[in-house]
Amino acid sequence: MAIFSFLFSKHLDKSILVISIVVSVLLLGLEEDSKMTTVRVVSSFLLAPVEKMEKNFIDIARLQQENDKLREIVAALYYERGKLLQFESEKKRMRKLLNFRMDSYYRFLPCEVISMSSNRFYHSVTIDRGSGDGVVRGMPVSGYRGIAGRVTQVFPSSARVLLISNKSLPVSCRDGRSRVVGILKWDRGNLFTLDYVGSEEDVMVGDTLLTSGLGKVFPRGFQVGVVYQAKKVEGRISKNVRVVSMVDLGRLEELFVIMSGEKWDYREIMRELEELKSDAE
Amino acid sequence: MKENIFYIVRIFFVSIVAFILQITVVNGRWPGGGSPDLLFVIVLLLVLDKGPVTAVVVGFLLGFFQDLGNASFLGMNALANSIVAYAVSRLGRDYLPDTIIFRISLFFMAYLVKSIIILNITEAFSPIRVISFFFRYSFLSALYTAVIAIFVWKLIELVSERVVRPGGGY
Repeated sequence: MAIFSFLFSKHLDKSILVISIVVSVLLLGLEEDSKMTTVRVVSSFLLAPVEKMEKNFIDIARLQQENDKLREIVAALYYERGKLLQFESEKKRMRKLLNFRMDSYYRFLPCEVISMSSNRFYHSVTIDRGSGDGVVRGMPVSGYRGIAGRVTQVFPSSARVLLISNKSLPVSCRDGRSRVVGILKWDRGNLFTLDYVGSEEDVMVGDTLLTSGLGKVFPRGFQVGVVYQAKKVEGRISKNVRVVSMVDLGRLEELFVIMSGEKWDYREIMRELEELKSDAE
Repeated sequence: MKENIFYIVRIFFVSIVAFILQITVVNGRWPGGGSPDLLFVIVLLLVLDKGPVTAVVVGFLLGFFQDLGNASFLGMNALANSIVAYAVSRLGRDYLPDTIIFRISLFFMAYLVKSIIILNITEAFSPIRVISFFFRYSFLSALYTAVIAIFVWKLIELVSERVVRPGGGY
């Protein structure tokens, strides 16, 4: 204690000088590798703020590049949107001339899966929206990429959705390219077979299947799956068509209840888009 | 506490600026082969009005900072600066009068002492080589360093209207 008092109270300046000399000599006596490591560690510590600043500048440059790219995409999309609007009004006029029913557009009610069926062969999920949100029995349900199932039971704040992998829910599909119609039936996992397709009918690997709208179980035009195998079987009148679903039915988290179709009103959609835009801003 | 942090941050930034100037502008552009040591100028000016403890710590840290540029002699400038800063602080505060002549002599001698320590380390205590380098480069470098130190010292005085006095305080 007396030594400490002597060193660090009475002769603090000399003690500090001796300590710094000893440390310097120790540093000088270090192996070359240890010196390099020490320099690297200290330099990286001292230069960390500079590197961070440099990284921020790089990020800004990257964001500017990304922004430029996005501007290009937006410009292209605006052009495309303009063209689509023209097509839309043209199609509307044609349908009117031919006395077709007017197209519908759908409202999507987002919901989350709150439970999955305990019975692995029952293939259903429960969602967190119910009659209180306007969900009605029979409403189709889709995932981000395509049809997932159909509401079969409705409770005040939840609903049960029977998935398309349930054997009792066959889906009438149409080949997006050749317009061939078949019935989709679950095989295993996310794999299905497309039944009732004649052996001479034009179904190819890579074709996208859409809901046909026949029977009014599912609305028309929603993606269901992609054909990954299509081959003729010797001696059979139907083709063996295998399909993988668009939606991963084993990992459903967010779904959309497709509310009843409404008449396509361009102005209303634009108003909704404007609202969304102003909300985002 | 807040003032101390500002003081440390200020030293850090001034040192970085001096270090950058030293390696980009100052090195190798002076007649006679020698060149001033800007970081050493900073050390000298910082320790003049501080006690020996602060002087040793500042000298060691800035010397160590200088050593980061040359890993082979890590600790060399830290050692030399600690000893010289201690001596300058003691002499400048307690013994030498506050005039330009004494001040320039102090800075000049300080650099020579530092130079002797460094040459002994880099030339592995070989007397002939140490003396040869000492007379070839150190005198001129010491002169340049002392002149720049005085110039900066006076500049600081003019700008801040404060006098850096030996014996502490402004």
